Amino acid sequence: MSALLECRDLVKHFGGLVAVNRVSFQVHAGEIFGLIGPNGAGKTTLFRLISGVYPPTAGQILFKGEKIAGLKPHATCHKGVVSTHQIVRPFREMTVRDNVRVGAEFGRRVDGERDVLAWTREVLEFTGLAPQADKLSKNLPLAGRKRLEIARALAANPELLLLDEVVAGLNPTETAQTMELIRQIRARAITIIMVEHVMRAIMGISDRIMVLNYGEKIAEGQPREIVQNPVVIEAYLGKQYAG
Amino acid sequence: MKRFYPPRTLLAWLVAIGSLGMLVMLPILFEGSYWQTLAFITFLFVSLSVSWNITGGYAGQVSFGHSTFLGLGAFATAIITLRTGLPAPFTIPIAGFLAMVYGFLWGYPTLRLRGPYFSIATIGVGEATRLLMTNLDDSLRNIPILKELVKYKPLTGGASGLTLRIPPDIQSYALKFYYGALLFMLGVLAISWWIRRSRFGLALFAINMDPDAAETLGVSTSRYNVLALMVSAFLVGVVGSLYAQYFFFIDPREMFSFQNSIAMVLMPIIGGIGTLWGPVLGAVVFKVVEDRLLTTHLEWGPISINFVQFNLLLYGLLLVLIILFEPGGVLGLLRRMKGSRLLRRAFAPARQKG
Repeated sequence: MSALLECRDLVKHFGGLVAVNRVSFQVHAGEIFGLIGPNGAGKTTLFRLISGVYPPTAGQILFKGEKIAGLKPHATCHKGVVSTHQIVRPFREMTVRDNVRVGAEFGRRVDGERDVLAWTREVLEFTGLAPQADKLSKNLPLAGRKRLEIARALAANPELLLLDEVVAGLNPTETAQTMELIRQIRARAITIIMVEHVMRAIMGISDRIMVLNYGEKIAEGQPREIVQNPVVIEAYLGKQYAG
Repeated sequence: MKRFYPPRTLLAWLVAIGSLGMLVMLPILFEGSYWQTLAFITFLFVSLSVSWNITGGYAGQVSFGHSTFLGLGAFATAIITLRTGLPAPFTIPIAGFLAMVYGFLWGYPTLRLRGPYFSIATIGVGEATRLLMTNLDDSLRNIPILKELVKYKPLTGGASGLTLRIPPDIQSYALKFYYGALLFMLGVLAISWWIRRSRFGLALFAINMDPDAAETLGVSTSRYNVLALMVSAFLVGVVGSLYAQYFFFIDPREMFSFQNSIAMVLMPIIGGIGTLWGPVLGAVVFKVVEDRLLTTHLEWGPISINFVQFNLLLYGLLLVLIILFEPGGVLGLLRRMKGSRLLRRAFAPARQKG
């Protein structure tokens, strides 16, 4: 099985700070790949390297065998890698529909000319935002704005979707709804990498999980293995709980 | 569309057609050239304001360097006409094109800067261009090969400017330009209106509201920013050309002045930045206030006051008030006062046809 995304020895320095240090991993098509780690572990930086916000200091990123490191975000988006933002950033003065339309108009194109408006409508229906379509996005509650963040990214038609803390700040009901949405996205053959702090959520949904600490990969495996891994427990809870 | 127009829409159309009719009739009703010239210059300033708004209002890239396009357009027309004898109206597209190329040249590097850093860079570009153009003739005279360019005729004329040939029948000439400028202004408005509803406009609004988010969704922010600046530059260049042709005299210090750049920033902000009609309203307020203050002269016993330059103080005050209390400008104020659906519909900041 060939990897959809492969990162080889990725390194990112910010001045003297090593945010990501020689991280290598592969993500396969159709997977939900979880990314966890304590605060400041380099999760968001890793996302930004993959989506092209930062160029890596060293290392290579291959998407479907093609080098994408160093491309601008709009270019990686056109290749099929779309990310959401940890802190939601809707186009505030635009309606929900127009927010989604930006993704539909400028995202990756497939099967020739697709009707942008019909596609926008489909994404709104799929994400359950259709009833709010004509509201200004700044008037949505947090859960709605988080959902919009996902909807916009979906409208850009990704093959690989990077979700950065999409359930942070949501109540249990909303969290469950978002998790259900992520399952449905996977059912559409979209591969997902997600960063999440809500352990129950990410453990329940991920096929595989990678753990980062101080910019380094300390573990990778199935959720069951990860929760029992002494190195991971140490990183999260301190030495006295490990082993 | 078979829907019956609600009375308000009808009213808006009547007002629009009525005011357009008045503008068409104005030169006939007021035979004197004063009102006609004021209206002509207002058309030009409305065009400038609406054009600037494409970059500054839609894409949110606040440029203080737009006088470069105005000056370049004016001098392109003057220099080409004086040197080749080509009739001035034929130089209009060339003037626009040159301004557009110049927009690309300085926009491509500076638009990589964000927000205030871009604005500061544009101030630099504007001032550098003004100084270069003012001293161009003198500088060229000292360069061995290039001095041939200014041997017989001046290029920008330096401090003394350039004077175009004045046609024999000035009345009908001015009238032609009056209608030409009116048409051009309507054209600029149509372009601005079209951009708002187009895919291009969607990209600009997205960039304005959040460039990072726009970029993640596949919008090439640098490309659309440069494109917007080029469209804006073309239109401003044409205004420069029309200005030169109507007034026959242009001075690089004035055409490339910082004051012109500031005017283009102020007008849309006063009227309502990022909207369709705000820049129009702003330009009219700007020009009328300036004109009234320039011509008002108060006599009170032995004291006599005139208000030349007083307008700058007033604009400054207006700007402070607007930024503090009503970022939507005069239009935002109107909208707030009326709360009218019509106004809200017509002037919503970034609404796109869905």
